[in-house]
Amino acid sequence: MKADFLWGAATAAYQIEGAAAAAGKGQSVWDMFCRKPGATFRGHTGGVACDHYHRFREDVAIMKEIGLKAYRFSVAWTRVLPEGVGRINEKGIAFYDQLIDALLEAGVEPCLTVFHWDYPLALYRRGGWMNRRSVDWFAEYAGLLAARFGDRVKWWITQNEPQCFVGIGHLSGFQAPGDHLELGQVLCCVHHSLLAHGAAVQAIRAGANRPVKVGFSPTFGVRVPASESVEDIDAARKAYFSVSAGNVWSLALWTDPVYLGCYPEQAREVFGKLLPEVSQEEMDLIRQPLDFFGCNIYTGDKTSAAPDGGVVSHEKEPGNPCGTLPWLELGEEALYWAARFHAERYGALPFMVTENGFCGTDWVALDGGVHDPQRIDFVARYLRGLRRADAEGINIGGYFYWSLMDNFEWAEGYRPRFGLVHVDYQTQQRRIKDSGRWYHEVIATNGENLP
Amino acid sequence: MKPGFLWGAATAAYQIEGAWNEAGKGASVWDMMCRIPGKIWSGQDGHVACDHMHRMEEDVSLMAEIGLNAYRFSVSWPRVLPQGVGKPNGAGLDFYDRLVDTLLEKQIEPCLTLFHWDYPYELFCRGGWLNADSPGWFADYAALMMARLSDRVRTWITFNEPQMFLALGHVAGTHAPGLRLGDQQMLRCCHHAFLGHGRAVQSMRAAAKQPVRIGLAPAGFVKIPRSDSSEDVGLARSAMFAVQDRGHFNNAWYMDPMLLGRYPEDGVALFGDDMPERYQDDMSVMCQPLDFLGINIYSGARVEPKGPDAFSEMSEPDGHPHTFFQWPVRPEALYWGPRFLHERYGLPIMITENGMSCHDWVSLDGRVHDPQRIDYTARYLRCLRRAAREGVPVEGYFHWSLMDNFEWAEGYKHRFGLIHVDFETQQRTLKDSALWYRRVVEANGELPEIIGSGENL
Repeated sequence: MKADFLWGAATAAYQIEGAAAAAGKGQSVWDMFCRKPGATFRGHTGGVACDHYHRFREDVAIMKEIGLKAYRFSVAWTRVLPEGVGRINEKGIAFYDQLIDALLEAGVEPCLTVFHWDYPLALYRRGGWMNRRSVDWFAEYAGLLAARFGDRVKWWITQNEPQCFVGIGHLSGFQAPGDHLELGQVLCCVHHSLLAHGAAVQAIRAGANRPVKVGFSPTFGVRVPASESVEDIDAARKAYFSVSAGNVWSLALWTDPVYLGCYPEQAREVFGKLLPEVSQEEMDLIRQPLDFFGCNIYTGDKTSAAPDGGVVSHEKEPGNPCGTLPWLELGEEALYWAARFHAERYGALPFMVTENGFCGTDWVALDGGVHDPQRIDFVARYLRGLRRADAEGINIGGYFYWSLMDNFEWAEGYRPRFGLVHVDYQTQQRRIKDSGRWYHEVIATNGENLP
Repeated sequence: MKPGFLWGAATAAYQIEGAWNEAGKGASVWDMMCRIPGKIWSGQDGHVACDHMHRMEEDVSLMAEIGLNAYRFSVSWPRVLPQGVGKPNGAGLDFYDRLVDTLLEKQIEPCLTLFHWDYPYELFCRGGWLNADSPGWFADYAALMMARLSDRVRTWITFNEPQMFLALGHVAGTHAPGLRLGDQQMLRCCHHAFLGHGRAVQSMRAAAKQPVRIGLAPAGFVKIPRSDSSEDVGLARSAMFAVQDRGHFNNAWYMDPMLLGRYPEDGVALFGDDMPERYQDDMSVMCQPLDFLGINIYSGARVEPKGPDAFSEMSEPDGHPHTFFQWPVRPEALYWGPRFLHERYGLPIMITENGMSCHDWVSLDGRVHDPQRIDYTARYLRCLRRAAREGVPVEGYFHWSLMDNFEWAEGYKHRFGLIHVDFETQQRTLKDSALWYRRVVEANGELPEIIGSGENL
């Protein structure tokens, strides 16, 4: 990988911080959602999580021990703006000030995600993403972060996986705020969150008052061609950027407006009048110049061309490798094809894997270690794909393993463990897993040790 | 462990054999179940499974490589009796003949389970366990197998996990035959199955060509005391044998009739008028002398008092270790389970199943690394060892499973094996756990990680 490659790990505020009501923090929709009976696994909440709010110095020391070059974290919106807008909670600002300073001191580049799902409850009560003013609220919040942290934080991500916080949160309701809106209303939320992204990019550049790197991190299941024939590659590309009806999960629904300044034609076809009519001015706001393509990638489904020119999605072979969450299927080469398809469609900006990882049955073994060879093999296979993309000249900027440590996995509670670091939730003891030690070697050799 | 301890691994016919419609085999209710859309994960089925029918010699060689001194397998009832009763299928009987001979050649003791859930479809169509003739059907099948194999097979098990084929199969409907019966019909099925066990033991003793040992292998729902105090131990003991609700997942209902000759009083009171008529008349036939109690134990639940006479299961702490199947890892179950069961029933204990599903695959170095399974098994074995040292007669331990296989309604999603199976190529690969288990068997369980006194999870 190139010399300034960002080898990192990622977390999100609500999943690790805890201190959910401490030091002036306001309530988020996740605080609300976790109180709803049956919403999360066994009623787990992020109330304490990894207690990172009180243990961030220890956690930064662990990052240094693993040798991370970069750390991607998110700010809890309601920790710095308890009502979402207006009054600033200086204690919240101070926490992130200290975190950023500790990272820089440890030689770890901070990468700040402005919004990773913990939407202010006060703003949700004013309509949340349904409200056109949500664009301004988000820009105000992003501008505040840039003004306060832009002097030290160079890497910025506006939104994490909008498909989830809009689609799962407002359509299927399995995540906060847990709503079941009509598709047309959800598409309205899509549009507002895209506008908010654009407005936030402007606010970040204005607030930072120095050149910073700004990106956007949607997620999508990659399509991997079953063979490298032109037909199969075309079929995989077509499927990767296709827009499906009935939900807002499709990648291009988000990335075409942000990177190209227009909704995909197929979105007009499948959503018809449900898709908002938009002015050129609005699309110009959504399409801001960016510095990298963020992408959270976990899976890659084999796809091939049908004889009639259509697309065939392959059934998984029986007993296919996967993590303890059933959707987390090993998709070899996913990072290669994602990087290549992105470069072809959107251009040469650095491709940044802002999340990729594996959840397994990790526990502390009798010898005191946490042995997770499956995670090592999983990551090695994905990184080989990224290495291939790099070798073929695709601009690859970084890789962030999800997650630095085991944490509150949203509606799944504390059951799935994704971390390079094991967390005992009773004692808050951290233990670097075998994969964390292995990742140290990957970083130290800049990927040269990969099989 | 004591000399002669059986260190084995277990499988079941439908989960590994494949060849579902070959060589004269009749259909089973699992063949039927796999045809019903939505019943099995990803629409998978046991048609090929591990293709063990065609790869039996290779599989026995792998057992020998692991050093097993025992192998628990089941006979597919409709493979030897395509109609469930009547004319035997010679080709089916020949297969088990060859399997037994191959095992004995490798000094592996065959342990035969007569019924591991693949009930003959033809008998299901005649009412299955609802039919008052069903105990006789099972007894005739048992006698056939005993006549054929008892010159070489010493250890026999009538039923595997009656809770599952009865409750999951006839009430929850998630296992074959997929029925959702009312309690009255369910209790009738239970009664016939228990009577089938008793009649089978009678017919097996009569047909045996040499002294055999016969047991039963129910699922053990272990209740674990929250401390070693006598109050907590007493609470766990009574919880373990309570029949608290009509949910059908308990121990005593499925053991007391066959082992003590009576239905549990709390259950009888609970089910009231739903009990079969004149059920008392059959109890002496149900309860035949047995030689051991097999028990399948994977997990357990700690219990605490709830009011003066009741208990409740304690929830696991956040992030508690669990298997891929989401079953909590509770090694103490392999101490308390055998202890409580031996106290109540007085029989030697055989662990007929214990193991974990894990996310195993062949890694880039060509091997299958599954340290979680090693750690799980070591922890459970150290608890079993404690039971043995404190005087519980433990005769054997069978890891579930020898190899990855068709995990019923979960299809091929869950891998329980010591041996990895690539279901596309049928390639077998010994996992790290198999290599470790070989050392366990060689050392008769006396490995540092099993003898040591590490903390419970």
